Amino acid sequence: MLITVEQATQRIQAGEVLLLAGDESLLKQLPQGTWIGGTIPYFMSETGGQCNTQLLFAHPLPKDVRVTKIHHYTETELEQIPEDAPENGFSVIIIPATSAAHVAYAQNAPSYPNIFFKPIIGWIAGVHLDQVGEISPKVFNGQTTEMTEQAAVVMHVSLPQDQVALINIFNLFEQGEGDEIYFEEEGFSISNCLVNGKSHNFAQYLLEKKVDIKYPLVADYCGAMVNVSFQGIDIENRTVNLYAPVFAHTAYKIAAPVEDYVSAFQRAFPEGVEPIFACNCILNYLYSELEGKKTGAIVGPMTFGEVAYQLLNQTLVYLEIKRV
Amino acid sequence: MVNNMLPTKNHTIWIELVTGQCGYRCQAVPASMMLARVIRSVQRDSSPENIQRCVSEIHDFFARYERVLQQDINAIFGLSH
Repeated sequence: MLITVEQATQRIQAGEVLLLAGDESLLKQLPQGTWIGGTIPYFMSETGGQCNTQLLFAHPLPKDVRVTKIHHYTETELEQIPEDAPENGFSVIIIPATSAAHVAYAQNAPSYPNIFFKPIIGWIAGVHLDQVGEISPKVFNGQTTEMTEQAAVVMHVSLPQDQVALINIFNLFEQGEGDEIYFEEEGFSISNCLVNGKSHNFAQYLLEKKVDIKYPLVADYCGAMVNVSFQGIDIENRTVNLYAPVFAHTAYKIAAPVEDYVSAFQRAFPEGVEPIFACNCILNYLYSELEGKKTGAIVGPMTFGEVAYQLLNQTLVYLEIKRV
Repeated sequence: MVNNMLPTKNHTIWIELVTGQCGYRCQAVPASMMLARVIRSVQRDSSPENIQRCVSEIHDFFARYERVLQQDINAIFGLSH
């Protein structure tokens, strides 16, 4: 829900546990309490998609959760997150875009010890698109109100034994019918690829194939479709820049086009889902022109990257709590 | 946790899983990502030691989440019969 600074302050002072997103100037005004936050001015709200620098987006957590730890993790500390997480619960991570922690988490999270043993969900903090490069994204530890642009902030949350946290992703993109693409080099900036076993310059390949880079690369992770979005093609340096790293030994395909995100969303999103947290990608907001449009009960920040265990792009991620 | 449903670690289904031979596609996101992780690991290092380590890791994962991964467990277990 979108709330004012005053409303957020009242909720924090009343002892609520909040996951917050909003403009840096708003988050800086909040008192100490059990909250974490990250900067972003784009939201999917109950009244539709919007850019708003006057209100904060709040996901209040249920009253029966227990926050066990809130901590800033530098890039070298990130792999401790599963160890610090409670045995039964979940962790919420917010990482400033382009920070050392962002790069480290993107490249290494799938290899962290026990990363898939404890649910971790979150997002990459950003800024207004007109201010990219001028202002750095920030994250906040509400317990101390400490702000940083380099480290991730994580809230570890414990659940009662009869509850379990389930992380899900909703991705409208599927692998298209085109070539299967492999990469021998891993990272955000790629020169070469293998197409049908033959080496190509990736930038040249995309240009020759006239690939619409609004549509991501999609890898099938044994049933989960994982997107890697294109930042741009650097023609001069013959490289392709991505918003998440590609990995070796993984088959990618260019996504099949999605013509109308909102209609496709309404057709495909499962009924009865009641997330306690959700976020979606700024690229879906932009490319699918979501400003003023609604995506049902799914509300939250529109972010510079999404985390469902590992970094994702152009994907909606959400957290449910189920009784077992 | 008592594993009444899971095959034991020495069941061949686990080796088929981590080597990607059965091509199973999971319903649950963490199971998908976990399976993809161990398959990639085995593609990088197919030594018996690494295969066994990956079998142990994914078995422990499914044992931990047996309560919530029933659909995938039933399907994978079914593949071996």
